[in-house]
Amino acid sequence: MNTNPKLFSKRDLFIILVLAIGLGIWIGLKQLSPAAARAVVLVDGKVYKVIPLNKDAYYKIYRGKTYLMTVQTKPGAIRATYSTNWIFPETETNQVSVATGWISKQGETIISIPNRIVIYTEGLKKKTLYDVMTFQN
Amino acid sequence: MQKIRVVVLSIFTLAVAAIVVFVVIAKRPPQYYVRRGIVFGTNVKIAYATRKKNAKFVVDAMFDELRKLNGIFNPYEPGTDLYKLNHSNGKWMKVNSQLLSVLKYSINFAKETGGEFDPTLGKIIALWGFNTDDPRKWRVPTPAEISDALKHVGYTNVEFKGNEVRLLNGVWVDLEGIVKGYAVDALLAMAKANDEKSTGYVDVGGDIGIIGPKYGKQPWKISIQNPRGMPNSGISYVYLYKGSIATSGDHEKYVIVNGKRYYHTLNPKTGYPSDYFKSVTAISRDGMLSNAFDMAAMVGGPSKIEKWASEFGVAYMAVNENGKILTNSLWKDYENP
Repeated sequence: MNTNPKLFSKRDLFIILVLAIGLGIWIGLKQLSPAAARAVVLVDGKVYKVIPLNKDAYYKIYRGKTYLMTVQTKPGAIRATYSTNWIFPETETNQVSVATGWISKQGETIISIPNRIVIYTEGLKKKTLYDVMTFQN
Repeated sequence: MQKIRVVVLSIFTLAVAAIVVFVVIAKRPPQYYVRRGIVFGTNVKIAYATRKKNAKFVVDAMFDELRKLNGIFNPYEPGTDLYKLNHSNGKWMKVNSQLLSVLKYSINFAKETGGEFDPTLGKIIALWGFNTDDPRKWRVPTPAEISDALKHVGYTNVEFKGNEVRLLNGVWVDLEGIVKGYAVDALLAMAKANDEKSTGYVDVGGDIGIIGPKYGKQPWKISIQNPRGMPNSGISYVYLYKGSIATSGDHEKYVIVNGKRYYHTLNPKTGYPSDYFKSVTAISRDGMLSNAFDMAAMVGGPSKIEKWASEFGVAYMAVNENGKILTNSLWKDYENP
């Protein structure tokens, strides 16, 4: 039988402290841990598909039944290999989405304005050295 | 007694844990709500953080505003306010207050730049096919076609009477050279109206306006796109706590014929591109000025850019046709954080 009138012994306080700090560290790490590498494909501003960037694969993107673009993935990267707006290589015009090439850093994007497609990455270890880019459009 | 002790011990443990969690969360920098999309005929990205917990609501409203602005300012889409004005056959027409405001600003800027910036290039732009995003329609017109279209260009053909506008001589207004900047300013105003201390940025097709410093105290690091590099590659960085930055160039809408590049920023006096710069980036207090300045500088070239930068208080970086980077003294203020 406990005859100690105090509610907490030093041992109890030590346990409280350890548990609280442990919980805090766990929550903190959870906040900081990155998500798995993936690419988010937006069509008309809505999420069309989330593609894991962990394997070699090809995906086709459609609006309804209309084919718009093919993208290729490899671990940690994605690129557009064909876009229906990429039509005039002989005059070097408007190859933007395909000409962007592989994107492998968080913060990079592939954009097709005629097809209203935006592709961006999440959870990649490599990040761009900037927050945002100014460009001619 | 033992039961009470266990209960109290548990409560205290949870309380201390809650305090630790609160401290962890409170120390976290503000979380930005980010939304991307293609609206207003361009790529848009908005990052917004506010203490009011309504970031998504505000950003969604910003996207709605951009759609609304597109319904006013798109000069080539039947039904928009500007389309109706361009087809008003020289009659006085009452126009939307936002259109009136941007039109007045642009005509004033045209006067101040001696017509190097001119918002009445609509017919010339349509002639080149640069009024669409479809590259199959981009072409180099014949000299006769350009000469004919130039007869319907000139900012002095725009007249104002109260909230009415009249376009003379068959001119078509195209506000592409300024309207993205206006959109940036409008979105910044919405962000600040919601929360004066909110932070983030709006990026409307590469025209960027700063809502507030990153995490409330850091500058946003902004890359300037390399006009001859991959779309995600930059040639320089600047650091902005506030203000707006915009870029014009020769590398998005263009055709190459016999090795010569013809791009969509056209000289109102010749109907052709000026070929002075590959790109011009401007930083100023507001989006409209940055946007209009870089368009004017692409046309005006090296002989005008320094003069206008001093007059308007604009920091600039230009890449000339040889790839040399030119900046003014104001630009240096932004080169370091």
